[in-house]
Amino acid sequence: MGTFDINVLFQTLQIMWQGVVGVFAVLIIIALIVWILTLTDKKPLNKDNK
Amino acid sequence: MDFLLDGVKTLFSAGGWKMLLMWAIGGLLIFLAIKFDYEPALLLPMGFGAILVNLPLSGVLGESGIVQWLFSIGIEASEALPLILFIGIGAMIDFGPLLADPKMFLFGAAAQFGIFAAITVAALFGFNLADAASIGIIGAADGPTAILVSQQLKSNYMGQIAVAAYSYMALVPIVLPFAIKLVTTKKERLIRMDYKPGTVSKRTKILFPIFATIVAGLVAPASVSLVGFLMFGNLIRECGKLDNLSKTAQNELANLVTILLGITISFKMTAEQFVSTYTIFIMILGLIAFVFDAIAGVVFAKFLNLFLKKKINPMIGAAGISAFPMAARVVHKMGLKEDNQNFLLMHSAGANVSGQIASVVAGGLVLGLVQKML
Repeated sequence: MGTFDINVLFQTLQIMWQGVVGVFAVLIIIALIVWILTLTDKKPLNKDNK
Repeated sequence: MDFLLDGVKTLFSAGGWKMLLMWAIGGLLIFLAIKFDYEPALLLPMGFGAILVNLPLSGVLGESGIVQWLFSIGIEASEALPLILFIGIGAMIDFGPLLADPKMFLFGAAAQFGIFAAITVAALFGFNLADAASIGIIGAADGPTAILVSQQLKSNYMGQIAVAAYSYMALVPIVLPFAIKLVTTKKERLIRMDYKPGTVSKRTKILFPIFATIVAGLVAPASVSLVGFLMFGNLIRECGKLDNLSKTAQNELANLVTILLGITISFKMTAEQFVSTYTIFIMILGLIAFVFDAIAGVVFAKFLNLFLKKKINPMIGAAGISAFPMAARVVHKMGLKEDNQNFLLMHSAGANVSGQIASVVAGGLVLGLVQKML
């Protein structure tokens, strides 16, 4: 820890927007894949059919 | 006979008081673990390890010291201990509630905002980029991720970061309600959510960990080890052919690694490294990370409600914090306290396990982004 460095602050803001976008992008893509997979899931005929 | 007093003489030398302070801190962690059940599996070994490494001329340090050896092999070389623990954690998690309601993935993502907020605030305090990023990862609410990222970035504060991460995970029942009530009204907390259990096929449960690893690995290559080992554990669980391995991963493997991880982390809790004003700043920043995680999740839920006919109880957003399963349970209990017919557990569990994935992805992204900038 030292003195405040404006360049580091700018870097952290860059990490913030890229990080937030990146996390959302990954999770949304995974969610879409899961949604597609569940759409193509066979519905159970009865409660015993797994 | 003087040799018998070498240790005591060191204790009374300049700086010896720091060792005594670390004994007190170690004792405090042990006390919190036993008396209040604060993450005892990690805080107790860390507390005892803090005493071990702060005994004068301690034999657990140095080239042939066991704690130093465990650290160099188990963490420094390739982060083996936290990653192997992730196999066990992956085997413990049932992603069913999440897979049945994929929109819950969004809450896990939103509830990682505190990481990035804390990184920025740490920079304002004057921390360099590597240390600021390592401190911000406390907001991942995930011990192995915090340890891995701070080690890879060669942060000077790994001990403090590990203590903060596990302490605040234990304090989720206190921090989460405080943060939720800051940004919600009683009317919002009373929003009822029905649960319609969806069926998730075995095929989906098997394909999910594979796809998740590939997607995360392509977008954030630095997260492959974290996500990959988590999903490997989950695949062992879900494939249906490896019940013995799954049970071993959830029990013996996880317990064995947990025993070693806590005491290994104490290598970074020597007085010279731990006793400083920076430690207090790190504890404050860790708290900021957790609070902002919860607030971001709740605010995101409220934002979604602007577009939804069937409203989401915004407390669900706070369950996107990776502290599993505590965050889910806390949100569920808060819901029942407001309305004893409002059962939020399956929704909050979905958000909570999503947070587990999102936190390791966030950790990998932070690692990759910071390493490019350094």
